[in-house]
Amino acid sequence: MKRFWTGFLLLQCLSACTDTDYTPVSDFEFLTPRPFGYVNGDEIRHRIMLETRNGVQLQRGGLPKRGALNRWLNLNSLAISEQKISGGFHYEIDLVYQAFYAPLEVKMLTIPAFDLLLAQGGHVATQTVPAWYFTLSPLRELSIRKDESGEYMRPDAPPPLLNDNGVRYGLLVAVTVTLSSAVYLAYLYGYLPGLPKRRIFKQARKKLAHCSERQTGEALSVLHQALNVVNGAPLFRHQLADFYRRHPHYQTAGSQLDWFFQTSNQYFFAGGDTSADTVAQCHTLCALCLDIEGGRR
Amino acid sequence: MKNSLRTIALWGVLLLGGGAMLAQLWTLYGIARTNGLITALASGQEVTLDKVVNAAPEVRLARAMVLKRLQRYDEALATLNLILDTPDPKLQAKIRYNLGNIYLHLAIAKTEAMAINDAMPLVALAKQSYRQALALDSQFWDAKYNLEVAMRLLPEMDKITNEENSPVNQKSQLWTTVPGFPRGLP
Repeated sequence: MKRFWTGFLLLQCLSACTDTDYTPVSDFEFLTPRPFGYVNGDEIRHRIMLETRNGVQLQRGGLPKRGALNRWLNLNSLAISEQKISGGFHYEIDLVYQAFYAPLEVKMLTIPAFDLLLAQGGHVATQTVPAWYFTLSPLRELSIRKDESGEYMRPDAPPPLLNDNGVRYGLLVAVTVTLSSAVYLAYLYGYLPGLPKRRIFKQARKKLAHCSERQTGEALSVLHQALNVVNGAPLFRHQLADFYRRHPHYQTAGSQLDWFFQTSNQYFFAGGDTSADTVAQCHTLCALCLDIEGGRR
Repeated sequence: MKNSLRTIALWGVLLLGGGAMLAQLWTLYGIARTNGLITALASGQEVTLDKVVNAAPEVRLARAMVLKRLQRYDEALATLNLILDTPDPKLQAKIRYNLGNIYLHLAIAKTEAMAINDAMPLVALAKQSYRQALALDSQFWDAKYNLEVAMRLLPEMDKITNEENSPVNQKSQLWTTVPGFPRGLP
């Protein structure tokens, strides 16, 4: 029984000690700039870094409000970032003040202190942000300076010219896109000088125009030459699959090309008998290949 | 079919690009004309009013400065007040600064004519304009300087001391503002 009471009292003492040591803030830093060399209208930036314990949270209602704090001091902006850390929260509070005061000589001013309200459940605690002292200097000499128009003051701001950099950039992009698409279309239609590859079937069509209906051999040869140029090497029927792999757009004329090679084999190697409209069909195949070459199919 | 779609797409891109190019050229021409107008106004040339009424805020700012030079202060103030809420903060700061300059110029003239009561509201308006300009651009040194001119002309009324924010001092200020009973004459 005696041991029980000793242990109980020890526990009570420990818990009491823990209560008295409890502070809601584990870290508090007040970062301020140089406290001198300010003039009328200058902005002053303060940063408060705060870490809380045991889920204690900052009450934002307790922070100073944006706007005029007194006759000469404005709070222009107030930004708070909150981050959860182990057991509590990490806060960064950025304050931007602006001082409007015209001293006759270097004068010490004070940004007033305020309390940060911290709460956990029904418990409320405070952390004081101390007052901050700084000196403000005059911009103007003490004696009144005059010019020809009376008391000296700075002249009006000249009206700025409109900035056309964005429009110039947009124009450059539009010109580039337009020219690129025009050049590519010209390439597809075979209008580009120095790139004869796209005019193979155009030239073949011209040659075919001179072939009569009886000149089957010549018509077949013209198409063979054109296909060889496209292939980059003589093209035979058994190589068509490879040809389609390298030039897939010609696959749309697959059945006509099959007919062409079959007719060619029959004409050149099996006695020369072909149907009467072979030359006409060569014209049709050439027109089809010309469309493919021009990107129209 | 695939090639045909590609060709159609390319024609579409070409037409869109051409349209965008023409639109950008037209915009560039408009900007060049507006800049010409601003330059003409800034050099004191006469510009017809219809070119200014619906023009860009920069043109109207230039027009207001011409009106100020001609001592047509009310028209200059009206012109500037119409463009106060322009979205560009740098331009808005300039407009508010120039507005403050007109108020301050008028206030100095009134002060020199010993019309102090007329000058006071003008100085207050000038200070407000400069403060607004500095809130938009805290590096606007001319606004800082002229605000100081205005503040010297009409100093702030409350005396600043380091103890002014202490609660004790506030309490004592409160009591001093309570009027006392007049002591009666015998």
